[in-house]
Amino acid sequence: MMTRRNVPWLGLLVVAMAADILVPAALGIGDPPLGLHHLEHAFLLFGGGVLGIAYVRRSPREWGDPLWLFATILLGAAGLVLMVPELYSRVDAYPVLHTLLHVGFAVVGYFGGYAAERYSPRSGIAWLLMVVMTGALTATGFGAPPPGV
Amino acid sequence: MLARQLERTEFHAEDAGLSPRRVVGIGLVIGLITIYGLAMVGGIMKAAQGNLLHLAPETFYALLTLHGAGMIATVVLLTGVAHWYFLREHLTLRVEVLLFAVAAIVWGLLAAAVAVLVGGFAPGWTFLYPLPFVGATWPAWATGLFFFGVLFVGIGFAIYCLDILAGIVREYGSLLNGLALDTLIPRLRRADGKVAPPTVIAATMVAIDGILTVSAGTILVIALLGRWASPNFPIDPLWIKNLTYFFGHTIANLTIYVSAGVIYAVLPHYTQRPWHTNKIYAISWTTSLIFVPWAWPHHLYMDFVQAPWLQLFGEGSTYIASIPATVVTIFGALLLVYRSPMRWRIGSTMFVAGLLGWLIGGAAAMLDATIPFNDVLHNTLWVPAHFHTYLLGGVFLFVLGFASHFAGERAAPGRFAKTAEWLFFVGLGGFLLTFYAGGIEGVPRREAVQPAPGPFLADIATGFVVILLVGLTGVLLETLWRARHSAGQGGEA
Ligand code: HEM
Ligand SMILES: [Cu+2]
Repeated sequence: MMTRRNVPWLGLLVVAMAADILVPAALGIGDPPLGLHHLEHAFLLFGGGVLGIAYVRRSPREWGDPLWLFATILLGAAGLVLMVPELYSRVDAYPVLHTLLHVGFAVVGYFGGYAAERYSPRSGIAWLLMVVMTGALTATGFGAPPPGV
Repeated sequence: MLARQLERTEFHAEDAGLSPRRVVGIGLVIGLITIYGLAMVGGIMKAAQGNLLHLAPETFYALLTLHGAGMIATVVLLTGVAHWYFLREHLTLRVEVLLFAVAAIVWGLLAAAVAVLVGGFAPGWTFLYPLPFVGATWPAWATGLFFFGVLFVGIGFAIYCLDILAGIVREYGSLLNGLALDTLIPRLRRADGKVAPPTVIAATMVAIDGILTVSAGTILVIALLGRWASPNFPIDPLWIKNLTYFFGHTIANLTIYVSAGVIYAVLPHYTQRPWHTNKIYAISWTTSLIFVPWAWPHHLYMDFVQAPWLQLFGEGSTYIASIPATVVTIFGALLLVYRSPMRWRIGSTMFVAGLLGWLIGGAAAMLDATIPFNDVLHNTLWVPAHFHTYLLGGVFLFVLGFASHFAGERAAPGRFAKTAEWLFFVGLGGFLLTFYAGGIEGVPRREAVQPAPGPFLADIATGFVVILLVGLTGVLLETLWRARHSAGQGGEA
């Protein structure tokens, strides 16, 4: 359940995500190195997911439709496609687009967490598991050329 | 227990118009037919490595790709439906989700089969980068189609794992309770005293590691699809090799843990004793949960650029991941069988023989995962020898045992069934021995044309494969016959 105790933490999370999305754009700071950039995306997916899960947990719910499970998987794939460096190296030139892309990660994360949690109480944790794994593995070299090339 | 189970069965049957038993049956039949076909492909490969048949090398490598990819996907399907069938005794699982998972895996298999048989895709089932792209003898569409096939298999398995995780949390309150860690941590104990049985512990471990594995597989496939769509897509070969084996090794490995879950559920039917949870199960399976995803580096011992700590960590993890769970399962099974009123049926024989295969294959695998031995055995026939021991001589036997149990086997096997079983086991043993012999002689694996004594051993192996297939045909016919004659009885042992 989303208890009152959690509200400050969730607020802090929202602030952190907003800062992550807005501050670099506002200051005109360029992208971090690729691995860190992937981690940043994973953080946005994760944060969004936590918020989506918390939203569902506001009120106790019954077991949901299996379609929520399929939605979870599709959103997982969507998150990965957003991480394809080809894509964001193209939008990089346009700071507004890049900022929007980061908002996109948070949104996909939100719906992923929401969908997973709607399937069954506390199944949202599976979404977080997928996101953590995705972050860890993409950060080790997704879309990176071999060293020295 | 039974009443609850029936209640759930009816609920879902009405809900979706398909009974759980029916969907499990569909998965089982499709899987067994596929395995039978792929085993024949295996026999054809052996005949071609010997002097009995001539195949163009491209054809051989295409068949090798089909056999490897197809077998792994099919055992994921088969062990998955078998475990699901028993998990329903403890968890509320949805038949629609299983149906979707089965369909996704079958579509994935079909896509891979078309890519290989029509397109000639032939870089091996691990499609190690850059093999799918460089010097390809097949069209680009076949490469893309194969990757989509892998993606589908992954999606099917992920959905299956997600539903099980959700079911465990609903029933036991948390994943920690799913691992029976409440036997160790008093704070986790439930008011109603309910503790997860071993088969649920296995499901928890498989579902969590399954999701990690599929996540890795998806990243891998998306990177490869990126490269497929645009030749400029940057890929670091070492990174992708690590991911490839993270996915390929772990998904193949998990089928053994799924099988253990099946054994925990099925053996009590034959020995008429329950299989209880205790702290040791909780500890061993939690250990496997943590270390199974770290064993993959043992595939990269020859890669000198790999970080040394990963090599050692991979070696250690291989041991830590597999030994405790294997030992508790085999020891537990022996305790269960020892002096029990065991009913020796095809099913129970298959399960006990499969445990033996698991043990021998596991020991042979440990040897190969030990760096000084790996220096000698790497990429020799020792490798397929050991994994055929626990996949063909272990996991597949569990699947056959499950099929027999599922079909219903009230009576002891007759002469036909016994003969078929013997032929099958003799063929199996001989086939595996020739594989090991090739490994000791240093014959390389994955070669259409082998140095001596490869072809000679392959000829002998082909003979054993024929015996194996004849026996297997008999075992399957017997199972089919029993299924027809006990229709509606619900497959009690
Ligand atoms: C009668 C049954 C079977 C026969 C005759 C057979 C035969 C073979 C042969 C000849 C190879 C090639 C070995 C080499 O030279 O490198 C092979 C590889 C392989 N087999 Fe089987 N096999 C059988 C059953 C199975 C089963 C049940 C599984 C898995 C559940 C399996 C999984 C594999 C895999 C993963 C490979 C590796 C492919 C590669 O190296 O890329 N096989 N098998
Ligand atoms: Cu970005």
